[in-house]
Amino acid sequence: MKKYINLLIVFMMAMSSCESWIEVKPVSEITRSSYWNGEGDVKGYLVGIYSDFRSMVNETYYDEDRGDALDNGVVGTTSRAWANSLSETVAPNWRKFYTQMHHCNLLLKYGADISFNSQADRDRILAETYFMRGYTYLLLTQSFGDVPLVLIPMESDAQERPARSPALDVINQVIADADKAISLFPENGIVSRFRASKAAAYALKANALTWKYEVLKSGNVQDLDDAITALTTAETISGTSIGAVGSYANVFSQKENPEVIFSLFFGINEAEGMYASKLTTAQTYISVAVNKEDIPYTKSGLAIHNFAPSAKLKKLFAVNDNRASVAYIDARRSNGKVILTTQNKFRGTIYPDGDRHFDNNIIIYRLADLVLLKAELLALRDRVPDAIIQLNRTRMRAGIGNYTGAADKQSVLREILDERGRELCFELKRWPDLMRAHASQVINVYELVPNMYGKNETTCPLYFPIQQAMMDVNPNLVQTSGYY
Amino acid sequence: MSLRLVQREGFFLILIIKSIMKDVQKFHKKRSLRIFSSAWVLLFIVQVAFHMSYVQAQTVEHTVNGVVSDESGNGIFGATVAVRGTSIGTITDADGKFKLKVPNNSNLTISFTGYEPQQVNVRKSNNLVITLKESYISLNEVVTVGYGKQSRATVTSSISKVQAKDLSMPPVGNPLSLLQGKVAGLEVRVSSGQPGSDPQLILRGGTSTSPESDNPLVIIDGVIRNMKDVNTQNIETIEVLKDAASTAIYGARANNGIVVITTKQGKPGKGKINVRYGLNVDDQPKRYPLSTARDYLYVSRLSALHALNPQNYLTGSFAMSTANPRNSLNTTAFLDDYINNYGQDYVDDLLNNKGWETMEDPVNPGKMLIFKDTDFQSRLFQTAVGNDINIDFSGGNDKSTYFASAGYLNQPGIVKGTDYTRMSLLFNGSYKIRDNFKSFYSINYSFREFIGLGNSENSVMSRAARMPRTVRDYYEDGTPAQGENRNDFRTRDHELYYRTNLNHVSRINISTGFDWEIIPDLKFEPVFSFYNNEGLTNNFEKANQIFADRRASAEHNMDLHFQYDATLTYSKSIEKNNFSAMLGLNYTNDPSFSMSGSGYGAPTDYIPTLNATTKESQTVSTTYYENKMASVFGRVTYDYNKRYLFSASLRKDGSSRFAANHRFGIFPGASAGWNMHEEEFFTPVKKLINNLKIRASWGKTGNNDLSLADTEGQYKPGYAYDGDAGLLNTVLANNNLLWETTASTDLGFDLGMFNSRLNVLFDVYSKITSDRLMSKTLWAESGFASIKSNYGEMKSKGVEFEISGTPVKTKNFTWTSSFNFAFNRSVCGKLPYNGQYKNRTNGGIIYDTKLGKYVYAGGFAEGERPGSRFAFQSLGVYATDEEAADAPYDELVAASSVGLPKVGGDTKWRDVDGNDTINYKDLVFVGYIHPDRIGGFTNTFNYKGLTLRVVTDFSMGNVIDNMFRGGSNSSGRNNIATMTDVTSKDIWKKQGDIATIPRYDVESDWDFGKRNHARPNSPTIGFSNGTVNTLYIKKGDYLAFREVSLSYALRGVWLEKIKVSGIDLSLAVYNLGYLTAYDGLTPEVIGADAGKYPRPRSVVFTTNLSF
Repeated sequence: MKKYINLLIVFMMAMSSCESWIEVKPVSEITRSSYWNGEGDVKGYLVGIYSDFRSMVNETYYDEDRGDALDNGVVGTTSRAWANSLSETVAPNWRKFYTQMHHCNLLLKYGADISFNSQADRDRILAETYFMRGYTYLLLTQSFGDVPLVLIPMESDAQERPARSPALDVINQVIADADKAISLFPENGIVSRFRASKAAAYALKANALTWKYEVLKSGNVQDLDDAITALTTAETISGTSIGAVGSYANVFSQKENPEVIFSLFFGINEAEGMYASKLTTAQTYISVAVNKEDIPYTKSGLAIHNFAPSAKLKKLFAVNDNRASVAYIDARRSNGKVILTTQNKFRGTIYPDGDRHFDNNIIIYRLADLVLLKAELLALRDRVPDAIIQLNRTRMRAGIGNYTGAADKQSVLREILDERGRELCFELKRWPDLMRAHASQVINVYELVPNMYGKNETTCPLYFPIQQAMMDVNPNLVQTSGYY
Repeated sequence: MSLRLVQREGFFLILIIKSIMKDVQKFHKKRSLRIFSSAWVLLFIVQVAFHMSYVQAQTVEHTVNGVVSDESGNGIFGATVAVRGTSIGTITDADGKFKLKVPNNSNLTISFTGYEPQQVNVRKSNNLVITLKESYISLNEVVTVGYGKQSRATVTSSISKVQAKDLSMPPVGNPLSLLQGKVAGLEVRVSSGQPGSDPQLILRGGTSTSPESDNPLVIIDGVIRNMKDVNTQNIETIEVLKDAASTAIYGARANNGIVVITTKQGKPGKGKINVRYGLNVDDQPKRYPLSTARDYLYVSRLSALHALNPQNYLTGSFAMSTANPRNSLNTTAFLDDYINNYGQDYVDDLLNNKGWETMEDPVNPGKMLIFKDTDFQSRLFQTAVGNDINIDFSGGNDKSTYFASAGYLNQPGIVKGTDYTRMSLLFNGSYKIRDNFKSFYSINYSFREFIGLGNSENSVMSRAARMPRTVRDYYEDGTPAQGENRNDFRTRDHELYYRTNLNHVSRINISTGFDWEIIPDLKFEPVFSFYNNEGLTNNFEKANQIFADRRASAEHNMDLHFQYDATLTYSKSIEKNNFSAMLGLNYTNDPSFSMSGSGYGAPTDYIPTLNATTKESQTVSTTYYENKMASVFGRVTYDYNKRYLFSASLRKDGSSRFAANHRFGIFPGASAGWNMHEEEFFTPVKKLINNLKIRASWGKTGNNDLSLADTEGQYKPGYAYDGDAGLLNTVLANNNLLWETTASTDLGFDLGMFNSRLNVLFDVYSKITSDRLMSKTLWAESGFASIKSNYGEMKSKGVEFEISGTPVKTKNFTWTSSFNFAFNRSVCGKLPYNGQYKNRTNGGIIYDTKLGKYVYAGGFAEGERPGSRFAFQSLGVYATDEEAADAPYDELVAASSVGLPKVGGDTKWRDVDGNDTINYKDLVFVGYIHPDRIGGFTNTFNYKGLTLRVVTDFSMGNVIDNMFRGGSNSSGRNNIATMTDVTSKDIWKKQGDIATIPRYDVESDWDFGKRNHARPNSPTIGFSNGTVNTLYIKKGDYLAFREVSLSYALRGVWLEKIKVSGIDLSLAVYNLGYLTAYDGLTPEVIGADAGKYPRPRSVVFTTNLSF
């Protein structure tokens, strides 16, 4: 019997589960506890941040739809932002901006304590991250005004649910992040045009200061002077010049591009489906067009003609403006009638599968943008002749000659707005441009944008509303003012 | 059986196998290599079987005649008469008579299902008369309990058992589909008719808010396994353990119940050989009511006049427009243009020989259109003929038993290009090494080749079927035309012509163990099992108009499962006290490896694999994951004289999926029963009620359905930028995650009346699932959508019963009937405080007309049933523009129609809150996604050897959104076939029409229009998909006529003369149709029906020969 009792004991001992039996070392997944150990982790995470940043920026919803550059396309799925009929029930969710914020905050928290072989490498990574966070806040506040400021990574659901901070605090954060980036970038020059640089950080700073002065009414002309200085510095250190790439069309077709300060890389094996695919057409709709082969159509459904370049935008171009044919193209029947209009700037590339893929880079900052922003700032600073000098720089390449119109401040500001509309169309700049111009009383946006006709600040606020569901989960949030 | 006999039988068998192989090869010449290898394995099995037969050879002495009858003196047909300890035996004929050569002084065992077996000693007696007593079926039944077996009489928990003989189905699906309508409380949803697809199993309403993923744990012969590709013919029983007292012994994975499948084992006695052949013919009798090309053109062209830009649709290159040159994607054109451009002869040829037609253009009176009408639905469906061949050998003696089987199944689907082929082998054996030491082993192999629709089910079913009928089917050179230039809008013929898919899965399960009686009453049973699933896929697209780059992708998955179990059982009976105790341990390790790659740019169509693609285009990825679990468990049972029954169990589980401080969980279970009929006071009513057991049970089970990433957070690679590889933190860590636990209470009784002619199993239950493992919605500013959390409670209550009986039983005729019904009500229990009334999440604001105020509704709220569906209520259609002028402002039209006035033909939406605006607050509750009442009704009629069976099952309590119909009527994307709705009298066509269906616009109603048909979903109210329009939402209740079958068992002396002990023939029709109000193809849909692979109607002929 004793034998069996021994056996039972052995059996029981075997059963007293040993913790190590269920120990599993993760192989194909990395957990929080196994990350943030070395230089490579920080570098890899920054690459991830760029990748996320690219997908975050890749839509027209916030920065183009509400403006006047787009009409509805043949496949008519436009957005309610485009219709300017947003409401508390039809509202966007800003989560994706905060996903980017989390990634930046995470890198800033853990990356700062990791030692690198080269201090400069670490500083550059931190600088790039500050740039990305600052730029994301700029996009957020341009769209929503007051937004929560989240500066620490999300690491537990016990964390506080933030309330919306005043827009002024947010824009100051953008400026602070830009300054931080400027101070951290180890070199003045551009290492890669697909990555943020000191020049880009200066551009961001100027961008934020302009917004602060014009839209947030800081009332401090020092903001304008600082912005002008930042733009001058950005241009100098970026080593770019207008025309460096040759024709206007080349600005968009060339990947490595001396006119560009910072653009987001697209490539077939990594990322395609750049937002311009929503402004271009599939061949089904233009198969009878006589100029079919000039149109950047896709054979399959890779392009969906949700939007068309607007009639208003077309009118902005003078007959001799060489940018018009680069910006858009009409598909015509044999009788000359227009079937539809598509954008023509971002023509994508025909790949071995026989179809066109939209792989043009998204341009964050290029010199013409900075030059025209500088023109705007100079005009606001009452330095109108200086502003015209800047304005003429893009006009010259466009072949429309120097500006000869009225030289009063408001007229010049209006001309700068139109010039930006021509030069930078579909580059995700239009709606913020209109917001600034409206704030500076250069235009009345409600009289300029067809879908806003007959509306006003009360019926159609300029900031975006937020979803009710967001407030249900975070009771500290309040709806954007003007929406109920 | 003499040696000669064995050889002769063997020769006969080889002949059979050879002829079957020939047949198989005929069907699949290409697959000969594989057939060859399986034939080899078959022969191997035959050899093993013969080896066993030698052991059984004995000397024959004299002949015994006899008759077997029941208590009323009626001969029993098909009873087994076997000589104990040998393989000698026979089966009685229709009159109950038998004749058998037996050795001197043999013991005969006479048995028949439903009767108590009897032993007879035969010396010289030549005319035996044996009367079998009917057994109390439910009492003598043995049921599987976790890690053991128990007599039904002493079981105190809720277990449903289905026998092989009641499992009958077309051989297309997963065997678990068989359970449909057979087990009270088990909802079996077969939502796809694709051969080889898996049903969704939901036991007692599941434990979550989306129960379709709450599949029970499947255990096949003790091994935790995948339920895929199991050969139905090898199954002996399927049992469903429903309450926590029976499932708690499986602990952390038992939350959703346990399905225990037992495969066939050899039995001591005469060796048996079964050869079964099944032929099935499947088709799809019901079709979508799509309009003809003529009607499509008529309606579409007229409605184009009202489009934003009519010329786009009239003279563009759509299916209804006229700028379609010869050999282009669409066939519609002006007849004049065709004659002018391509000549009269060409046009005459089209009209006279190619089936083209002409009609007057409704838009240009006098002008003729030419077009070709192609029924793309008929290009999608096919009549499929399948074959199912099985051979098995079984037998044994007092030392060993064996069961070996080989099966081959080929089943093409009713959707062209889909196919399922499975080969399976099973060997179950046991050998008694010592009197107290028995070893057993099992090898189960299956190989499947599968071609399915996979992720493209929706695009094939809703789009390939719904090509406008004027779309070209074939180019002039005879190759298939693509439909549209889009990947997902292709004709089925084009897809099949250019795409090749390969999916092979081989599964092997090997287990071995022994049963050692250490001392009397003390048993030790260790088992080691290994289960390997290896899958291979390769997809390739030959160069074509849509994909010119010959893209290829491949995947290789290897999922291993190592399982060690050991139990130590002690049972003892002292006088009337029966006691048993069991201790056990279980360890599982599940490593899984996956490799996938893709590439494009091959120079040729001939090589579908990646080796031909260009180097630059190739990408590859591998992953490796591992899950481990270690458990100890124990159970004690006690009964006093089978009268008072008690059982208790405890299990401790440790899982690698949890954070270090929360690795272990404890799961107790307890149950008690009272066999009232054993009491003396029961004697007076015993004639009426022969069995009455009252049961009560309680237990806790768990759910560890989460990954390491959920507890530890995840940094995921795959975020490349500018050629560099990047990572991101994609899952938030939650180190505090606990087991999800379900506590269940079950009360029930088993009732047997009229000598068990009528049996009732009745249960009421209550389940509370707490610490639910679910994704908790996070605030947007966190940057994450959700975090896996232990979050709130789900409560389920329900009633279920099974009634089975034999209403008629005479000498030659028996009618048995069984009915089961289950009602389940699941509601959200306590939810974490969030400041909202009832702590509602995912809800939205609607107007409550009774309360006269706005309220939150939908989503999940305490005390409310989850899965509620809301829609805009259609009150009909505005007859005229004047009537529409007063329509409330509609906030939810397409962006391009914002602000446009409503006109005649637009839907009249109910403005619930009366604020003159239609928005999400005007949604009304329309029903629930999930049914709450299910059941089945089976009737079997026996007349002599003839059996007729009628099976029906039903499901009630849900609604289905017919998205397919709504999508057609709203002309999604302007290029979709119309349904007969567009020409019916119910649709609005002109001013003044009183209609129920709003106007048809050729211009996509969703993209441009008023969204009269399909409406947007509320972003807050917590459900997605569908038309959100009451016009297209119907009740999903159905009664399915699942099976009508007729079978005949052929027995007799003349058969025995040719060494056949029986032939069973059957003819069955499955899925004959539904009684339902739902107007889609099949009501077996949960939620929105965008187009489903319907279940086929199958006509199955089977023949089974036993030797």
